[in-house]
Amino acid sequence: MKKKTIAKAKKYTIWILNFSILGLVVTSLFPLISVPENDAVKEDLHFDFEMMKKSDNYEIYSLVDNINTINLLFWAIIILGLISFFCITYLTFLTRWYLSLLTIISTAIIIFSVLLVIFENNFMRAVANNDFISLSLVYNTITYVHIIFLFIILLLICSIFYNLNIVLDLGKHIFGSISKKQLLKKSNNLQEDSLLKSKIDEPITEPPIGINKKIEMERLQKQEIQKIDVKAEVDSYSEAKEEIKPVETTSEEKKYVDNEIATSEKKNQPGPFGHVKREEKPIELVRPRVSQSFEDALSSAIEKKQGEIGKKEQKKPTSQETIKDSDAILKEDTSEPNQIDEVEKQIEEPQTEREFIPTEIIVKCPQCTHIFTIKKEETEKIKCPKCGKEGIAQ
Amino acid sequence: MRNDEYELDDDSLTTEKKDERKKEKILDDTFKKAKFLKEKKTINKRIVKSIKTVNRPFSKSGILLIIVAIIMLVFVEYSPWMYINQETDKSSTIHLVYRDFNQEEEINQTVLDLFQSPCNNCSNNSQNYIGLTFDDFTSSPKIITNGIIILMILGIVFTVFLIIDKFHRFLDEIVFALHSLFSIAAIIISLVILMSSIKFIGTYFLIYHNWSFIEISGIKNANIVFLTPIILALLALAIIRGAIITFKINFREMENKFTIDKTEEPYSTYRYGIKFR
Repeated sequence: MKKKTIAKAKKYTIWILNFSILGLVVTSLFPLISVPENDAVKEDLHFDFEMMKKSDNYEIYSLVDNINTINLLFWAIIILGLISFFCITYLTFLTRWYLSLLTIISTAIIIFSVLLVIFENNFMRAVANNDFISLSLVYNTITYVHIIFLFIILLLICSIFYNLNIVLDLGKHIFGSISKKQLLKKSNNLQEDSLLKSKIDEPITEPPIGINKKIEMERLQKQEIQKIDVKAEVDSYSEAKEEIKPVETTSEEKKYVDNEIATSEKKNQPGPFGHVKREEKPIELVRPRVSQSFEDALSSAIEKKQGEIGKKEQKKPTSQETIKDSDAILKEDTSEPNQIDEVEKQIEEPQTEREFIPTEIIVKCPQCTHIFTIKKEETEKIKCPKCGKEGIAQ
Repeated sequence: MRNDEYELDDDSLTTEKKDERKKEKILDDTFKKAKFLKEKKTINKRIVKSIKTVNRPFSKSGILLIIVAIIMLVFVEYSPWMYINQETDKSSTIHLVYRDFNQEEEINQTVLDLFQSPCNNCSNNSQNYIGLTFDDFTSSPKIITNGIIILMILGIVFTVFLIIDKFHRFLDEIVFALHSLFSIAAIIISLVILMSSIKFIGTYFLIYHNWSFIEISGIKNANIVFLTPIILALLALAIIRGAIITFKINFREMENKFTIDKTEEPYSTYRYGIKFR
């Protein structure tokens, strides 16, 4: 049940309780009927419920049954309202069958409210049919019974709203679960279909048509992200550390670069002591195979550092530039720009994207500061083994 | 040329060394970063989480219920149920009617006529004009006393339960559930007390409407106050109101306990705006 629905249900239950208590009190409090007296005092004698019960007149006494039933119905609604309040307070949080129970209770309240209206109407009709008895007047044509009737109507309206609130939520639950099941079935069928499977592997921009687009889009996005995750997992730095040795040890690469630089410098030299003019040609290197991820990480790191160093060394000419350029060319050859960006993102923002999922959580008791471990599933009911303090993990 | 070549070689050697150092530095930084990240993961494991506790229900509600019940009992036993100030031309007489009031008591006949059939001339529609009989002064106090005793027992049981709970901690849900059950019982009993005292209060409406009939029976310029029923009704209403408030408090506590905010979901991960777990 939604939080909003629970709050509404609580509100309506309180109103139902208030109106039913008021109705019950008012029924016993107000005078209900009046009988004309033509003896010593020629006025109407007013009767309340207690007086009616003690009346010697059978016609008056016969009306008591109606009022008794009304009182009983009010009591029933009060008890049902209290039970429903109890259910809202506990069952909504603890159990799953609360919705059906609340639906039954709210329906019962509606039925009792309708019965109240019927019995009140019967009482009014019985009084109206009797020439001898009339309803006690408050002012002009307004009688005390009308006030009770108003409370009953308000009670009925509240109970209808209460019932609607719960029934709508129940309907959403039922239909929501049905649609979910249908979608699951459809997605299973899709997975079996090889043609559609290939479509799923396609980019996210073209989702398959037919089933709920949102769910399918999310699924595909998840697949894409999972692929990136797998790559990121492969990128473990421990592997990189192991693989760094061949990079450091290979002298072929350095020699090759040096030779290339030397030849290019010799070619560009105009005279014996003239300024060296270098042509920026891409140097193709035969590098030993290192893991792609490590290369990416290394190149990104070097790129960053070189950016800083480059600014400082811009003034310095000659051979340093050549080495820098060779590195840059190396970088251009070996790594793809997109992958570098992705790896950089992963390095820069690892906490936001990667979250550790622990199987055990270490918890500290606020009472005795005893630190102990609990399982992942036990976060909702934690009990301190030392002092017995209970609570849940924040 | 040779000198130049030698110079160049020296330069290249120094720059090589410098570059190597820089590269080593960069590598060291990256490894440090990687190590730090790895360590951070393990640190995440060891984050000490505080336990979210729930406030227990109002522990003094049982004692409060007992106190209210005792006050009620005192009023039922020792306070006058009806106060009549009968004013005549010469003097005014005050009559105080307590519980178990009957015909044998030495009270003015006109006052007694309020509760029995005075209408010798009327059409026998009713035995009295205010809807009360002598029986009401015996039956209602009995019902109310029984209700008060039950309320006291409820209060005692709940207080004992809370004392036991202090030593042997029960589950929050059990405590809240029992507290609400006690509240339900208190509401129902209070309603019974209220309904028993309401018929006395309802007499005011009948006195207002049937005053001409009452006057003929002999009571003139009389002020009638049903003191104890009014106080009992007010106290009963207070108990009902208090019980509903405790219900609301319990509901709020349960809501706080069992609803977790989305930001606090411990094992959900979001990547590129999509929820994974």
